[in-house]
Amino acid sequence: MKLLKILHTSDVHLDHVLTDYNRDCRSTRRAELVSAFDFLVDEAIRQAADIMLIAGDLISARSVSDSTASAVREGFRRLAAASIFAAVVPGEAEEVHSLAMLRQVCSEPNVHLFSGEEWSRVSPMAGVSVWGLRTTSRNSTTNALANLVIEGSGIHIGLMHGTFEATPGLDSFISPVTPTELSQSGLDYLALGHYHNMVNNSVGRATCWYSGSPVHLGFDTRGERHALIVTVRGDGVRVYPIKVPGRPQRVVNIEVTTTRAREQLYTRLARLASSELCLRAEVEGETEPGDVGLVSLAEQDFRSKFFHLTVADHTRVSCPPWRSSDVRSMDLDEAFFRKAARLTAEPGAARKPPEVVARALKLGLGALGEVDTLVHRETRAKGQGQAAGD
Amino acid sequence: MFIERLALKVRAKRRAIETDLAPGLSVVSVDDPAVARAFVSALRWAGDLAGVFWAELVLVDGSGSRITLTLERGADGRVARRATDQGAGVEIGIPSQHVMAFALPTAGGAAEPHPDGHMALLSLPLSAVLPVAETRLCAAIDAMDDMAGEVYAGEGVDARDGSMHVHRARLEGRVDQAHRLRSRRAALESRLSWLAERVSFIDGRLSCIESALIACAERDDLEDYIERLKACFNECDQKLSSARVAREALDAARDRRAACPGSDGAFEPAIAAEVRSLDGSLRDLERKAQDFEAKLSCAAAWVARLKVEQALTHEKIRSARGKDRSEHVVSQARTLSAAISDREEALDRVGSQIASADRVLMQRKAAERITIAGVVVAALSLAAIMLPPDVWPSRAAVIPEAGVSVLLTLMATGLLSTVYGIRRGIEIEGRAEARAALDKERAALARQLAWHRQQLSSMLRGRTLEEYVDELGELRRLAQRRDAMADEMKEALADSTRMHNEANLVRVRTVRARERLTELLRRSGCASASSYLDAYERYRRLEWAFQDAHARLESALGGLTEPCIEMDMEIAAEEIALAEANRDALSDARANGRLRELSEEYALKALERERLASELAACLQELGESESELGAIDVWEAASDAAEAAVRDEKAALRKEAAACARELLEELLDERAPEAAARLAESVSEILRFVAEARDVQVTCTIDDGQATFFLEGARRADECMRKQAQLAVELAIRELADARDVVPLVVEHLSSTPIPAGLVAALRRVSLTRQVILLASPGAVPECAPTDHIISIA
Repeated sequence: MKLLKILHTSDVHLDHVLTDYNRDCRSTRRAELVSAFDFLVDEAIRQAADIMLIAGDLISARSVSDSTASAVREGFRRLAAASIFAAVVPGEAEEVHSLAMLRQVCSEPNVHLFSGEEWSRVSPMAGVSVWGLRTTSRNSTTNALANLVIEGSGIHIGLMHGTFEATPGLDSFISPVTPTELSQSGLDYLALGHYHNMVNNSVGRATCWYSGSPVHLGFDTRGERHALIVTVRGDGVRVYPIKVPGRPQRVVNIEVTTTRAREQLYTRLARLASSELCLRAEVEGETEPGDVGLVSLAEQDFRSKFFHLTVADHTRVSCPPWRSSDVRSMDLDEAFFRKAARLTAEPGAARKPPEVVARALKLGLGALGEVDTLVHRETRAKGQGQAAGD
Repeated sequence: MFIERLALKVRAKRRAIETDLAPGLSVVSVDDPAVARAFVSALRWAGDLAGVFWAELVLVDGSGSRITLTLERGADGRVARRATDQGAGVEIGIPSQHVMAFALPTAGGAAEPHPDGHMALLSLPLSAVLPVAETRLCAAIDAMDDMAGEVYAGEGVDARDGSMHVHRARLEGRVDQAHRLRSRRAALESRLSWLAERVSFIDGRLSCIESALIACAERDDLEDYIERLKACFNECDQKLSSARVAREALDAARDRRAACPGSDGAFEPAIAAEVRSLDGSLRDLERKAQDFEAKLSCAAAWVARLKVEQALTHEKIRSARGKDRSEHVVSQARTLSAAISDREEALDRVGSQIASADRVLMQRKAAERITIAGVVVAALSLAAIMLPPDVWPSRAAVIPEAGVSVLLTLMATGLLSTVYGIRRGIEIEGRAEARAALDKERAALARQLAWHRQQLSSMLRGRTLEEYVDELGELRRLAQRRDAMADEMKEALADSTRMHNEANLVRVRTVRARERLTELLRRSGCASASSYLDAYERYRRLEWAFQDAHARLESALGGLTEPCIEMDMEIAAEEIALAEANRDALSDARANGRLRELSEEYALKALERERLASELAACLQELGESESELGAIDVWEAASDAAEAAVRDEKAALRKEAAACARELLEELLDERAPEAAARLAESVSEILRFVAEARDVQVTCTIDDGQATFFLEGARRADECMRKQAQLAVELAIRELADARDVVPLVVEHLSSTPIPAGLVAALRRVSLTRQVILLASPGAVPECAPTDHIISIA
């Protein structure tokens, strides 16, 4: 039996809106998505793959531009020139205007788009059947593989965009696939898309993988990005992940302590600084009331040292040492803190969400700290200022 | 702290003011309102400084240090402020506030009656009267209000073109528009595809119908074509016949021409032209040769004549040379002749002089006689005069007196004659000597003359000089003649040689021409040029006849050849057969009666095609417009911006909610702390009022309502107007004292109206001046009376 070689990828999300990234680096990241797709095409050609499987979300149909659509078509043309067949199922990102854009990019003769809501089959070569279906709102709640009836001999490959039950980290639920159904489906390999990280969900001889997104679309994915090379022959299915080169991206947690928050945060960011790195720093721990603007200040200070930097503030403002046992403390910061603490603690009808109260606490402390009382009062009272001509 | 000195330049009046101020109460009286405003501005260091051109304040703080505040207005109108520590001599930060200003109320009160019947002294915003901590609360509340209202500004968004919601909706709208355009583009492309297919089908059908319809026309065309082919065939046939006749005539002409001798190229026009030319040249050369012969004989005769003449001339010259004539002799002879002439002239001259001398010598006797006669006459006259009268024989002989004068005259004449005779005698003697010299000279000249004549005669051999010169001239002429003849001889010989050469050249050319002519004539067999030319003319006529026949043949063939015409005829015959076959193969719609049906279908289809074509054009145009419109939208940019706006909205909402929550907490704090602060402030006001009014029983209270702090004067004296003004002053001072934690700043009181200041108020200010510097700026006459301790400053 001839070796069948497949390149499996999904969730490229070409022309994704990339709101996790700064505006000035977003265009570069967008170009990197297209480069990643080109890399996959080149890799399929280099590895002499027979089939390229795209398990949904190839493009972000709402935001995809004509130039990117042309680039994808050009990629498919290159696959055609290398006699590589491409099978594509739509993902939820492509369900715009009845897959109009996806149909447009998949218009090359070597590309088959599964646009039916029932399982259908295409045979790119003798003895090989690729089964696929389109996941829509109508069939997203039903178990997809329950309706699959495999006919004929040969190699049967499944392609769908959905949720494999019990996949760690995947909390959405569309067209669920259960291990039992997978083992009973008769498929040699099920190529899944939807989850952005690479996961092996194989059950017994039934092989099933999420290829994961070949690029970082935001900071919800971590680590290296992959596509899968799947080889199928008489003795079984083998899956080899291949690394997709891309821009380094990290999400780091920075724990700060009350007295040394600034030093800890700045030291860590300085150590991580790289003009090529996309970094999201999750700052946690406690800060003093005087450090409420520290995180945004650090982001401003270090933004130029990274390709992209986001510093998320998850810190809590530490309770200042009480200067008075009286609830009505004369110290404003302390009194304000006590009030905010009471707001979160007291059960009441108009209880605010904790994140709102925490934010309010930071805003209030910041405002109290920034006010120059004398000037403020004089300005307010007298309405005086420097003459316009001055 | 107090202001020690103030100097300023008022902009409008262009005047400089410099005043020293006392630590206590300074009453400044200013006439001009503009100066007063500038003065107050300079004191307060704030407000409208437009009237101040330059100002300098010297402050003395609590520790005794002097600080100079300088205000300068640059060329661009901008104001530069700086503060200098006089002690250290360094520039320091400008104090945030160095005076407190208070404008005396002119009449009545600022506040309205309170609902409980109390008359309010003053109503101020809460934030303006609270102590520092509570003021921070107010500012923080304001900051929260600002934050809630400017959430987008906080996020760094340009909110000029409306709210973010509108911005986001517009971005979403652009994305939707792009998708609509894409859908429309897809629909148009699909429609265009269908239209193209349909147009293609209709074109095919139209083509079929056109084929059927034009088959009839083609059949007719083929008939015409066959007719044209047949006509062409016949024409070729006729052309071939004419060509054959012309060819026979050509052959005959060629035979005649071939029979003519010299047809092997001897009668070429070029050769004939050369023969004609050679013949003419020969004749010309012969004539030239004859001419040259005649000229040569003339030249020879001329040379011979010249030779004879030359011999004669030589003989003459030889004979002339035998007489020994020379130019030298002529020259010497001429010199001698001239000398002879000179001698002869001198001789003549001497002769004439001798003759003249002879004539003078001949007068010697006469001179002697004149002398003697004179002497006699004189002597006689003298004697007659001298002799006495009695001597005389008779009385008659006595000389009368008149006779004496005559005698005197005679004596004088006698004397003169004697003198003349003597003088003449002397001259004559002199001449006699000269004549002897002349005789000698004449003899010498005569000898020289004879000698020169002898020389000349021997030199000229007996000839005269003229003869000698004539002979010499003849000899010279003969020599010239000889030279001229020699030149003429040379010329004659050169001319003879040239003509001889030219005659030889003519001879050579004649020989060569004859040889060439002979060579040319040899091919034709003619003996002479004239016979050749006659034969040539005959040959040319035959040639012309041949050419004419050839032209006729060419005309008959029409640029073709006979085989070609025959081939054309064969092709035409084949084409006729083929066209007839095609014509027979074409179906004739007229024969089966479908012509009308096809015509109707054709019209319908053409109409539909036209409609589809216009729709196609419209679709293409719309597609172009859609493409253009779509090209103007960067879908990804718009979608990204919309998504970003959504994220921002979400963040802004959270921020707004947090700001509202913070504000709520801050408000609560303020509500808790404000009454207590107001009570403390009211107590402070009461104390100050008691001090400045020197009234122990006055009391001021403060209530807080709706963000305003209102002060009331309690007790029986609340209706006292002066007390009310003192109370207002006390409120200001109390508020200020809350802020004066470090130093007590001077109080500047403005009263620029002409209304007199109540005496009690001035007294109160005087009391205040015990605790801080007070500068009262008032109009002249507004201050009723001044105490001796008051520092009075008047600015006119």
